[in-house]
Amino acid sequence: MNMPWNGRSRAALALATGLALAVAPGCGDGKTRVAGKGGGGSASIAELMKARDLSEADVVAALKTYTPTGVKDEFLMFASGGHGGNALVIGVPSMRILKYIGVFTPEPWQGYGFDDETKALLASGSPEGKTLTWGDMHHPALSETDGVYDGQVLFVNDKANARVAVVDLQDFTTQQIVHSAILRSDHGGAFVTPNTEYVIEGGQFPAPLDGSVADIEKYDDFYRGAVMFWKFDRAKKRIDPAASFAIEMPPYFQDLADAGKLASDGWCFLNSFNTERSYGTGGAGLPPMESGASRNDMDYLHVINWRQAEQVAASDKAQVIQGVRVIPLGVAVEEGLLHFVPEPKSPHGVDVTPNGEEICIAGKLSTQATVFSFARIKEHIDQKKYAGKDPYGVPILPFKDVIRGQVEMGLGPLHTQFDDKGFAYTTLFIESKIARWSLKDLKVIEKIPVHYNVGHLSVAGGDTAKPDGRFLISMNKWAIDRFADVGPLLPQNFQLIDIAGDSMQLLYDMPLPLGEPHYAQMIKTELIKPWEAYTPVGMNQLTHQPDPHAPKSAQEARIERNGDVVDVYMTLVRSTITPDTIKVKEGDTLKFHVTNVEQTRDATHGFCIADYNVNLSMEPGKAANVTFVADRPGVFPFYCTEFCSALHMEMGGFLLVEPKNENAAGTAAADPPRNRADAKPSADGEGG
Amino acid sequence: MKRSFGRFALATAVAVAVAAGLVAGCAPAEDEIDLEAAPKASAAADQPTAVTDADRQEADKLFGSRCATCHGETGKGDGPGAATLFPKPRDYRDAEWQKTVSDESIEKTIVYGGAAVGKSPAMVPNPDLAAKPAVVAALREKIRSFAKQP
Repeated sequence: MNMPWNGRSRAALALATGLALAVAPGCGDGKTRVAGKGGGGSASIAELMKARDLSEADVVAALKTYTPTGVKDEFLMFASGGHGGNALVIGVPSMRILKYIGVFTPEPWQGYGFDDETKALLASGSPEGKTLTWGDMHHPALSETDGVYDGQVLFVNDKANARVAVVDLQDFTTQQIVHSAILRSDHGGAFVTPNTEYVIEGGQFPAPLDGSVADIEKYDDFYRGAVMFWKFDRAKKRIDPAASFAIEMPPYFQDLADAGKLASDGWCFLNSFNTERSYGTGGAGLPPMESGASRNDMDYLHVINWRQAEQVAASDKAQVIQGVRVIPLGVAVEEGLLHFVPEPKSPHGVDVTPNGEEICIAGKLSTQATVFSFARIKEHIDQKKYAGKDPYGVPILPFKDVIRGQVEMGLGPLHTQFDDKGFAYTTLFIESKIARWSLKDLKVIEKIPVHYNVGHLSVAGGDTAKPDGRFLISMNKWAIDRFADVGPLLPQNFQLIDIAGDSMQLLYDMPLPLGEPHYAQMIKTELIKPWEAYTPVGMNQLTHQPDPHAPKSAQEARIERNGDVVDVYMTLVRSTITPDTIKVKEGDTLKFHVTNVEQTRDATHGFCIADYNVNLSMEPGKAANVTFVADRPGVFPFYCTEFCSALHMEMGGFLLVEPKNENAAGTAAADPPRNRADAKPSADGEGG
Repeated sequence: MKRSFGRFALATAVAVAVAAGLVAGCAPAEDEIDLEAAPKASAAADQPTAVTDADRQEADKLFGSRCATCHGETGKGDGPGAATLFPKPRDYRDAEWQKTVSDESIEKTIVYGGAAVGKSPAMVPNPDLAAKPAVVAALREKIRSFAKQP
């Protein structure tokens, strides 16, 4: 039954009232009925609580997250799918997974990586001659306008293979994958500037930028870090590699980045670790990387003037290395594009406050978060008040003079986000807690335990100029004992925390059974306005233009043969595939041009062909092309893979690939593709 | 006002019966279906559903996105999906058909599909519209309006 909203409110009120009565011993009649009779049959709330061993806090948490059928979540969280290579869309506060978005990994549900276009897309970001079929997705970044999410585009990075992808939120599909040839890895992406002028991608592991191999002992001289600034063309919704540039960096491990906004617009903050320049043992008994890279008390926050760098990159001072315009380190120093500020110790998160005036940096091996003042940094840069230079000549600002203060956090502070009430929230990896602290007073107010080993956190709008607050997701690397055992490989644990009140409350655990979901951004649902269908019929998913090959109606469905190339113009509609009989010769090249001619919302069809690894997802109006050589003789059924109608099982047809050997055609295949039974059924059906 | 459309079990039974009928090439005529027993698609039998302009706008939009694929923009049954259908979608301009078909039957067909009224199961149901009787009524009005077309 579809209950109107006020009905639901009344039900919730009744439930809450019942709860209040139930938990006050002796006050209620214990007969309050739960709306909809949950898993406990017709038990009262008190009985259900007892039976399920739930506390009042548990029930309050349930009331804050339960989302009745048909009711939409207030927020959408775009989470990385880790080395699953897909992005996830999760509703908050219900924590329901709404979508996987295939990005770096083929994704069969969406037919991603199966049609000609998305196959080429996956290959476009891969090294020549190889198609990468996974990615180590780390940091999703929603496009921004004036420092606030605008809901148009999602960017994600692949740390392992130094790639950045563009996902269009009109249809939630990957549109572009770019790879910078000068980077070997990219932990520091993707982060956007306040109007999505650039997508920032910082490398992690330095290497010779020209792709050559240099002895590891020559690390200091030949290995270099770099940060990419990918230019985003908003009109085309594509990164423009030709207009993008990089800045060469010393061979430190450049890490996370955040773009300045408002007061600090035009600047980029990128932190680093391993300023010790450890490259591990080198096979020669040097300290291993984890200790070699942790000797110094301070590393360097990289302060980059990207607006000025944009000008320098366009000048003849930039060099082209492996097709990328690079500002050499020396030029960056000469032009005043790059300054360092000491930051304690082996830092991880660098997070600009909503007003853009301060930068919070948490040191993994420090117990504090440090709050840097952009105004003081700027003043010191303008007046060239330096404390020294690093070995590569980059000026270093005096630490104590550019900070506002430090907050004693606890063990293993990593990442910080902000709410709408002046609080900052920092994850404490080693303590497995989240600290809420006052930006104004630089004091921790409260800590809440999480389970366990928290990495990133995501507050609604929490890295923008206008945080929404309300909800926080603690993105925990380990679950250990939180869920039923499912073998040695355990899910990650996203924990939903209510941060609207005076005290934080843990509401819900969500297991994430793929990859290592890493970071997420949370946006108000109403800001996302996706298409209901591809309109007009025959639209190509990648170009978002009419596909030149797409048949637009069943009348245009046909088979055309040109030599040994067979074009199949195919339409799908409930519950018919046209044409449904396709006869070709072994060795023919088949080019399927498939259109779902429907416009009905959710009337998605699939199209698969047995044994040929053909699997398309055909959303209403979508056109897709798939080319393959019919190199296997036999009879291959094809059918719709989405249960689209009552006659779904009937929505199919046959591809007949006749053997090349003419003599064998029309009889049992001379070279049968599979073992076949020799017995034939008799006419009366009793054979065999 | 929201109304329940009753049980779906019978529609399934009807669909099975109809499928059997189609195979034999003799789909039952509409009056052979027990409309009283089948789920009701709207309040048409009891009292007319109030249709607002907003309902009509939504109905127009829905007709364009869901119905026109087969039924055609002008209701002639010549939409891009119709070419391969058997039997073909009805021509809504057919005055004889318009006279014989009841409002309730049209509305039920929209919500529960052709199988529910003894017609082709290729006419798909629109289950989400069960909660929107006024929009269904507006769609029925739209189908009726085609009768006036040349």
